[in-house]
Amino acid sequence: MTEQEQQILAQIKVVLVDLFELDEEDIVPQARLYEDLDIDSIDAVDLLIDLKKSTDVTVTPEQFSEVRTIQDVIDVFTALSAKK
Amino acid sequence: MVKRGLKKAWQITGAAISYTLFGLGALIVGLVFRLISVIPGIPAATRQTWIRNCIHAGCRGFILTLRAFGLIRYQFALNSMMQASGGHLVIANHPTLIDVVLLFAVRKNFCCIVKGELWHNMFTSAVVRQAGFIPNHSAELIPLAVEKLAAGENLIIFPEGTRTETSDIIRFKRGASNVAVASGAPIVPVLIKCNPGALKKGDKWYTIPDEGLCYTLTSGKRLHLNELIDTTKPKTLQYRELTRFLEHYYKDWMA
Repeated sequence: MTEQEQQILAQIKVVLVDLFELDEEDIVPQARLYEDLDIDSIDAVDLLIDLKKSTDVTVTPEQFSEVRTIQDVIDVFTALSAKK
Repeated sequence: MVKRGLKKAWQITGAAISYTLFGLGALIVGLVFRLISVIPGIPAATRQTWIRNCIHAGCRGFILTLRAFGLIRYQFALNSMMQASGGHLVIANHPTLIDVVLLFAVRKNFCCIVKGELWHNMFTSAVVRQAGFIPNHSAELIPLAVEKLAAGENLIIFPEGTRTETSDIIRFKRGASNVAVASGAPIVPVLIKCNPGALKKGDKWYTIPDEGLCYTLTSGKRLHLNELIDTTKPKTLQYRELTRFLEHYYKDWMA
């Protein structure tokens, strides 16, 4: 994992702990959002709004629809930050 | 022995007749409204009212038929639900097949969320679409529900999402809380009890206890979101808190 990815993961962790009553140690790259972390599609909408605020990166619901795991989230944000 | 056999045969015949009439009724209403849908000049809102009135009357007819055959008895203590003006979210536990039919029979003009199968089924699709119901597979489910509530409709949601597997354990999904938090609509809780347990998930419609089913429907005091949970927290936490609150509420209520 690159340094940038680790930074993104750290940011994601903060948001997920705040929004979803999760334990930090459960938020690992291979964790599946729905099955392991109980984050559904409605939650995902709220999550994107919050991530937009805290990371200043805009992710559309379409870009997020393929996301299944925490690693996928990291990938989306890495790709988008690279474009900025 | 013979007497019991006869009684069983009578019950099953009664159930078969009731369900057949119900199916035929839905079919006829569906056909009529399919025809009406091509007549120009009738506003969708008018069609929606007509069809919801038909649904109300049909469901009433159905439960009266079931009662006439001695298949069910019922008692309603639904004052708070009947008095609720528009824009309320009516939630109920879901022990049996005909729960929604009972609710439709008691009060006119409910909106509800329907399974994708009914949305696409050729017998039911015309009815559920023109009745302005909400398909549960829609990505727009929450905004649609919020829109209906804001327009003053009363919306029924079964927070369990499907019939309860084992009669006593209540497990709510978050959908009802999603709608409640997104809309801010007041909630009218309804408790449905059915003794003895029958028409549960996996039960056959013709498996009916000898003495018939006894339903009791009770509605509780109206609940306002800000009295139940901390509405200043992020919505995602509100969904979870409200779901837990409602689960406990029903657990206590059933005990």
